[in-house]
Amino acid sequence: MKDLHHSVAQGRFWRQLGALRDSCATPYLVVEGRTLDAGQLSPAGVRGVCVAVMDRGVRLVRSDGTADTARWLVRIAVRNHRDRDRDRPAYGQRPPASESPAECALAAVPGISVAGARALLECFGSVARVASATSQELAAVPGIGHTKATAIRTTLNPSRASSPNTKPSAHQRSDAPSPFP
Amino acid sequence: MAVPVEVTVLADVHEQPSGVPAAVERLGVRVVELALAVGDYDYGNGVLVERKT
Repeated sequence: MKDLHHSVAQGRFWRQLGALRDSCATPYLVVEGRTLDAGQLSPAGVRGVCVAVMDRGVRLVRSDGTADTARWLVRIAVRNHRDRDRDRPAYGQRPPASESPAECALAAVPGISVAGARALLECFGSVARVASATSQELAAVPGIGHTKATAIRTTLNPSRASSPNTKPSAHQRSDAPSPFP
Repeated sequence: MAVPVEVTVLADVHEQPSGVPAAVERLGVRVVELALAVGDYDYGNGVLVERKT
């Protein structure tokens, strides 16, 4: 692990990592050694480096030695070989769980299941109305809640997701019929 | 699980003394040693691996 510690201390590490990220779509960093702490960085420091590597989108693999590294490299090779002819990632290979295009569209939002998509469409009637709903309106749908409501807004309407949520809730508007049962 | 025979990985020449390229070959993946500009292992398809010890 001295190479990792030394390259961080010497300032070479982040340049190397930047070059790795800039040169490929899927960068991996294999950190090899029995312990992370064999070097000059503090235990907190070397772990902070590992977290920062992952935060930069680099896949970090911990290996306890050369034989373990070889096994990881082979698995990455086999997976990469299998993925060569795919036009979508492995998790995208599942058959759609719904025949409804609107349900499929909403179920593509991270964290939204087909059942959740169905509940949203029952409340709002269309993908367009789901996309224009406020976070409060979305969160009021059974099974959605605030986290999924944020995911829906971020995915379907990113320009509004980051702006203040000023549209009054349907619950608060006396002149608008509630979309909720 | 068997490794497909046509799987090949490019390894940087500086990795040879570590014994990792040889260990990878023993597991059934063909290794071609080259001087890589970036990374220690290049799988093609936009996959690069840097190894830190």
